[in-house]
Amino acid sequence: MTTPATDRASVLDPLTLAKVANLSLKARLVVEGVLSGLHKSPHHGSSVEFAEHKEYSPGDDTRHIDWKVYAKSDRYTVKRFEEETNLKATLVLDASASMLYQGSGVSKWEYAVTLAASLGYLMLRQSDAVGLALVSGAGTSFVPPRSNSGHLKALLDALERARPAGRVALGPALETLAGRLRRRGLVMVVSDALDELPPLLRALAHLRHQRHEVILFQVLDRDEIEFPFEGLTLFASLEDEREVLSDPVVVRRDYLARLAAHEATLERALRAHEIDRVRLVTSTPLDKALVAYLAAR
Amino acid sequence: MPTFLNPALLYGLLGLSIPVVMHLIGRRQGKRVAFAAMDFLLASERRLAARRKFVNVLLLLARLALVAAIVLAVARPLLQAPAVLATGPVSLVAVIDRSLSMRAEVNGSPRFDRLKSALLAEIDRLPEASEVAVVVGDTAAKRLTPGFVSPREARVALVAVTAGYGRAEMAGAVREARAMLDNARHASRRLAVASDWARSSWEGFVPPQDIDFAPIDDGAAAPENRALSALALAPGEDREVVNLVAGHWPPSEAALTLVAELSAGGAVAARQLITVAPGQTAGQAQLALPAGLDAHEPLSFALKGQDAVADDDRRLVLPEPRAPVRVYAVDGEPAATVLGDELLYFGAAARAASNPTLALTIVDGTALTWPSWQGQDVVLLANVEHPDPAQAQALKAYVEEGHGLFITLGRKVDARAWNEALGSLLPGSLEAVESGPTPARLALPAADDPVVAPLATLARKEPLELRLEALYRVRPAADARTLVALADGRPLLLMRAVGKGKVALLTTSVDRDWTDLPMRPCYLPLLERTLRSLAGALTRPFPRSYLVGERVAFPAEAEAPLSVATPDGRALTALLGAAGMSFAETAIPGLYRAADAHGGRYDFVVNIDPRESDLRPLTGGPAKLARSTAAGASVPGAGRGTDLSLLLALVALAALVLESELARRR
Repeated sequence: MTTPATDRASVLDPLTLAKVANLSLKARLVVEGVLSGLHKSPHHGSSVEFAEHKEYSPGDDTRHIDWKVYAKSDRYTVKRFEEETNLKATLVLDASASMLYQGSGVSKWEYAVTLAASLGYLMLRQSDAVGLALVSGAGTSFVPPRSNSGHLKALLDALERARPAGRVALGPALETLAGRLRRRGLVMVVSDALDELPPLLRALAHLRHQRHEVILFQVLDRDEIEFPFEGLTLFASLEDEREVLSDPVVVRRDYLARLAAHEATLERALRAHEIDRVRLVTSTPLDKALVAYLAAR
Repeated sequence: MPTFLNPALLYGLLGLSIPVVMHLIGRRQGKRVAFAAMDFLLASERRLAARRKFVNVLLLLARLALVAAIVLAVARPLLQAPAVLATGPVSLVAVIDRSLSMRAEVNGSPRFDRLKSALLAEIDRLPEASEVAVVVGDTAAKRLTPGFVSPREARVALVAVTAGYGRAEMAGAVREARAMLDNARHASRRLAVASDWARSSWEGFVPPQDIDFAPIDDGAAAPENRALSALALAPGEDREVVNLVAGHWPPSEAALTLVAELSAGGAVAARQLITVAPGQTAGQAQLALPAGLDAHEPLSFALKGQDAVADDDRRLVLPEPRAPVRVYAVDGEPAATVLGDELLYFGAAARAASNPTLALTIVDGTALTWPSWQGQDVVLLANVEHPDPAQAQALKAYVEEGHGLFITLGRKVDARAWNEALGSLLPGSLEAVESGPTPARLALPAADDPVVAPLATLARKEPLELRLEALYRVRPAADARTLVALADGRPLLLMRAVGKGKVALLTTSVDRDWTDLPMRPCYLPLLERTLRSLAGALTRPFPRSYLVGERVAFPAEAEAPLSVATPDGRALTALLGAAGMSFAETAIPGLYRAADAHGGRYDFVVNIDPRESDLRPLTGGPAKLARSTAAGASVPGAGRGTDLSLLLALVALAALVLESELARRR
C-alpha cells in the first residue's frame, strides 16, 4: 500500500509524467502534487489594497480568509490584493536544438516544456498573469501575459506547437524581451545555459536592472554533467554540423573541468545580480522547480 | 650485424603493414552520439588533440615494435660479440655435418640449410686476412678445400655442399679439422662445427681443449621421426617372411601403430601394422613375401605418412631365394638294409624335391677317416661311436671358425669317449642311457626361440607327445640352452655357442631306433631349423643390400669392365683392385644396376643407415660442448654468437604492455 507521499513522488517523477500525453493534465498533476505536500504556503501577499475574492485553495494564507463571506455563504473565500493580482510573470523557454538531448530519461525539452506548463498553470491558478517567450533558432515567439482562466490553453498550445531548432542566442533574445517588459515582474528563464555566458549574463543583468525578479531554471541531462560515455565516439552537434571524434575516457576530465568552470562563473554572476538559479537534471522531480518558484514569490 | 638461423621467417616482417593499416582504419571508427554540450567537448578536444596525436604515434610505434620483435625473435638472430670481431686474422676450419639427419625439416626448412647459413655467416664475420679451410663430415671426413684458402673461396666451396644420405663420422671430421689447424698460418685458430648434434654421430665425442671450438646449433628441438630401420628374412610356415623393425624417436608416451607397405613392381602387394609400445623406440612385425619374385626387381618397403625425414621411411630389397644349408652328415650306423640306416628318415626328407633348403652329403661314420668337410655349413654326427682325437681337434676348430656341429645319439655312442674327446664342445656331458616315458610329453623351455617355433605352433593346438624308448641323461653345460625337454625336465635338444659357431645335441636317435620322432610332423622343420640355426642362417639379411657410403664387393665371377647405373641416372664403372671388383660411389639410396660385358647381372640396393633416424641430440647438446670448451684455458671467444631471441621476446613483451597502456589511455 502506498502512502500519499509516495504517490506524490511518483506522480512528480519526470519519467512517469512523460507517459501522460496531455500537457494540461501534466501541469495540473505537478501543481496539485506540489501543493498537496506543502504544510504552509510560501505564498505571501504583499499588497494591502483589496482587489477581489477568490476561492480558498490549499496554500493560501488563512489570514486572508474573508470570514464574513464564509458566514454568509459557508464557503472559504480569500481576499486578493491589487499588487498580487497585478504580478506579471514571463516564462522564457530556450528552444534551441541542444534542448532535444535525451539521455536515459526524458529529453531536456520535454522536461522544460512540462516545467513551463506547470509554472504557468500554478501562476494562473493564483490569478497571476503569465506570458511565454519561446526562443528558437527560427526566432522568438511571444505570448503576452494574461491572467484569465482561458489563457492557460493559449500557453499550453504554444508550448505544444513549439519545436526546438538551430542555435539560439539566448542573451540577445532576453535583451529584446527586456525592451518589451516595461512593468516589473517575474522572468523565469528555462534553458540549459550551455551557451556563451557573457551575452546571457548581460541580458539577465539588464532584466535585473529593470527590477524584474529573475529565476533561471537550468535544465541539464545527467550525461552532460557526468559525461559517462565509453569507447571511441563520434560526437555530433545537435545544433549545427560540427562533429568531433573523441575518446570520452581521455576527454572526460577536461570536459568536466570546463563544465564546472562554466557553472561556477554562471553561479557567481547570478549571485551578484541576485538571480536565483535552480539547477535541474532531467531525472529531478518537478516539485523542486515549483518549490523554488514559490520560494521566490 | 646479426645473422639469422631462420632467415626465411623474416618474411614475417611484411606483417608490419598490419599495425599501419589498423592505425589508418582506426582513425575514423567510433559510434555516433548526438550531443548538446559541444563547445566544451570541442575545446577539450582542441587541447588534447596534440597529446592524442603523440599517443597515437607512440601506439603505432609500439605495435610496429611488437610485430618486429616477434618476427625477429622467431628468426633467431645471433649476435657476434664485439670482442671476437675485434681480434686479428683468424685461421678457421669450418666443419659441416652432411649426414642424413641434417635433412630433417624444422619449421619448414631442412636443418642443413639453416646450419650452412650460420656457418657461412661465421666465415663472413672473419676479420681481414683470415684464412679458412672447409671439412665435410660424411661417411668419411672429406677436405673440401685442399688447405687454407681465402674466406671468399671457402665460401664458394661451402655453398656448393648439399645434405647427404649417409651417417657422418663427426669425431673423425673434427680430428681432420684439428690436424689442419696445426698447419694454420695465424696464431688465432678456430674450429667451427655446424651440426644437428645427433647423438648417433656425436656420442662419446670430447671437444678439443686447445683451440677455440665453436659448436654451431640452430637451437631447434629434435623433431619426431620414425623410420623403417631393419629388414631381415626369417623362415615362415611355408616360405620365408620378412621381419620388419620400425623405429620412432623419441619414445612415445602412448602406443603407436605404424603402417608398412610392401610394393612390388610399383603396386602395393601387402600391408602390415607395426605397433611401437609406450616408452619404446622400436616395434616389430612380420610380413610374408609374395611368391614368384624376380631376383632383379626390387621390393619396396615403406612406412605410410609423413615425418621429419622422408628418406628413412623406405627401404629397397632384392629378393633372392635362400641358399640351401650344406650339411655334411656322418652316418654312424650305415646299415646294410635300408630300414636300419641311421640317416634313412633324415636323408629321405632332406633330399625331397620339395625341400631345396638342405644340401646333404652323407659319409660313412664307421670308416677310419672321413673325407674333408671344408665348404660345408654344418657337420651332423649321427650315432657316431666317437670322433678320434684328430677329428675332434678339427671339429673344434671348425666350430670356432663359425660353423655348426649337430650331434645325435644312439646305441653305438660311447659316452665316455665323447665326453673326453669333445667335452668342451658338447652342450652337456653324456651320462647314461635311460628309458623314456611312454608316451613322452614334450616341453618347450625356450618357446620363443625360432628353432622350436614349429613345435610351439603345434603345442598351441594339442600336447606334444611322442614315443621315446631311450635317451641319454645329459648334464647341460652352464652356457647351453635347452630348446626341447621332456615334461620331467630331461633335455631332448640342447644348443650351445662355441667360438663363432654353435653345437646342438639331440639326446635321442635321429632315426626310429629309440623314438618315433621321425614319424612326427615336426621332425623335418625341427631338424631343418636346427641345422639352419647352426649354419647361422636361420634369419638372414637381404642379400646384395648395402648402406649409404658402403663399398660394394662384387663376386669373383664378375668380369671387368663392370658398368653400374646409379639411382640418379649416372653410368659409372666398378674398380678392379687386388681384392676383385668393387664400387664405392654409393652416396645415395636406391637400386644400382650392375652388369658385365658377358651379361652377368650384379644388381644391388643401397639403403639408409638406421642409426641416422634417431634425431635426438647429444645429451646436453652443443651447449654442453661449448661450456666444456669454455672451461679450457686457451679458448678465447668460446661461447660467442649470442642468441638474441630471448632479448627480443622481452622487447615484444614490453611493447605489448606499452601498447595495452597506450590503447587504454588514448
